[in-house]
Amino acid sequence: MRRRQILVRVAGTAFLVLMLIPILAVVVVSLLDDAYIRFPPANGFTLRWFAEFWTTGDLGSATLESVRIAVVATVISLALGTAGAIAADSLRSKRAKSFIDTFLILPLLVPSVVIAPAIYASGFWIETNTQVPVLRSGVLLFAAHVVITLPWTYRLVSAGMGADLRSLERASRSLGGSRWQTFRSVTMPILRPHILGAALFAFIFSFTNLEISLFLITADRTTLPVALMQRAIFEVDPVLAAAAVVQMTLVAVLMIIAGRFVGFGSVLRK
Amino acid sequence: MILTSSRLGAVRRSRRARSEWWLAAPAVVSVLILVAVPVAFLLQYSTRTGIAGDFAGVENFTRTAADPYYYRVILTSLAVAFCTAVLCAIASYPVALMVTRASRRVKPVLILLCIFPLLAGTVVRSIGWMAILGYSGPVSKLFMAIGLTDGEENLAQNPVAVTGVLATILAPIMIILLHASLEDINKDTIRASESLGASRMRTFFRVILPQTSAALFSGVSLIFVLALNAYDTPKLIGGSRVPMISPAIYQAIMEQFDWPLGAVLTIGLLASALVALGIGAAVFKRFFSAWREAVL
Repeated sequence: MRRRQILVRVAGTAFLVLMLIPILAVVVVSLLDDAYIRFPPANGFTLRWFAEFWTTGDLGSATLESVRIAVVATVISLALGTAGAIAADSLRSKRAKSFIDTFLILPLLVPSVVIAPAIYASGFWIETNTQVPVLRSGVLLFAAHVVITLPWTYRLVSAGMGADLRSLERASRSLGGSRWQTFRSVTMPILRPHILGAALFAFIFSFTNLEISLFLITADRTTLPVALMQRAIFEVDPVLAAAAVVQMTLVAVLMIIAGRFVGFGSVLRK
Repeated sequence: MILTSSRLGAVRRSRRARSEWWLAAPAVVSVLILVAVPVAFLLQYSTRTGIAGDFAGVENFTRTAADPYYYRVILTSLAVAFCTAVLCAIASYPVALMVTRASRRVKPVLILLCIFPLLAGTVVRSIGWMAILGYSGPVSKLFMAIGLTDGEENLAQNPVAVTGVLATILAPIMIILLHASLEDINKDTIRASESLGASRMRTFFRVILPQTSAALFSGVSLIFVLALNAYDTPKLIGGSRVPMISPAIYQAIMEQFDWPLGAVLTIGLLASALVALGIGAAVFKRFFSAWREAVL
């Protein structure tokens, strides 16, 4: 009886360590004062790679670009997702509700290496046939990030809606509150933690997305995951590791904040 | 304000009549014009001769199938994705059990440790594995020390490394699915089995495992699809020696400008994904519900 418990613990811990070890490796490489990876390390620790990261190549500007895209995508996706969630909640027909449910989850169900080339090909076609620079201007890059974060904002806000919310709204309306008053003083306060949680997760998913950006970046706009990827094809160096640590740190901070608003289970449970 | 019953009735009626369906319109329209229409647009290129080409029938499919390189790409992708999914299920199960059995104080920490890698981004973790498995990395030195290899070697660049790395990268999703399913198990069924004299091994295989089979199967088919979809791990860990479908799609569309080829590969990817999800569901329905009924 005891033995099996131990077996589960040993196997479980071992695999958990394997899941975390690449993250540890990146952190270690970013802090070592060796210009290339060597084991055992020769020169002790330093923080200079983090200073170099801002000025080397396009890693610094890519980080800013990723933040910009993630902020814009999150705001738009949140508006669309919240509106969608309210709409789905107000529908009486089960079939219409499940249609919206399925349709808004499509960007998650269709593999991103299918969505991304599809958007790229369509954008390219529009650009050559109508001269509207949808790709070159980066409009499609932003729009694609909105769409891939939409399933998360929609689901997380939907999760905050239940019978309670509906009856409270009805109470407010029957007491003579206008639609706007009801929305502002009943719906919003109840949904706020879910909306905040949804915003943080949408930001994280946009910020770390590789596949969608890979197809849609422009000559002067590259995102951090794409810049990391393109540099890593040649070699993993400490500056690259430092950039990766910056990405992970930002995600960790947002994740801890998000954890205060929504349970992680509700985000990833299908 | 005093509400007469007739006014209350009016409010209730108006509430019922006016659903806010139109609020969903912007979201539905954006998915339509950014996912549904573009995907259809890309897929129709599979029957064209080029970017501005004419109708080509099934020629693109036969051309791709006859090319030994793409034959290898598809076989490698399917094999790696399948092994990843199975490995992931086996390796994630103990972690999920550990999380479920953890005390109230340890559990949130374990869940955080499982989810952080998922949110940190896949590129970052592939880069970490490159550092670990690459030339003069710790694993290479270890293998040298115990005499497995003669000199410093890059231990990535092979299908086994890609499978292993993908399994660790995608594991959080499997763990979350299994954990949710394990939490839903009625603890009385486990207690009943044990009090009736079943060993823990027997309890696991006849009581716990069958009750999580739905999560296990949806997890395996989901991981299979995600492994096919992965771009960075095959590219960074596998390189040109482990050609897989996602990098091949990128290459066809962005580098070779061969959209018909890209469309054919995309259809291949979508079809494999659909078949996997379909088989997952069918196998589960027919075989496992029978198994479940038999053992429970």
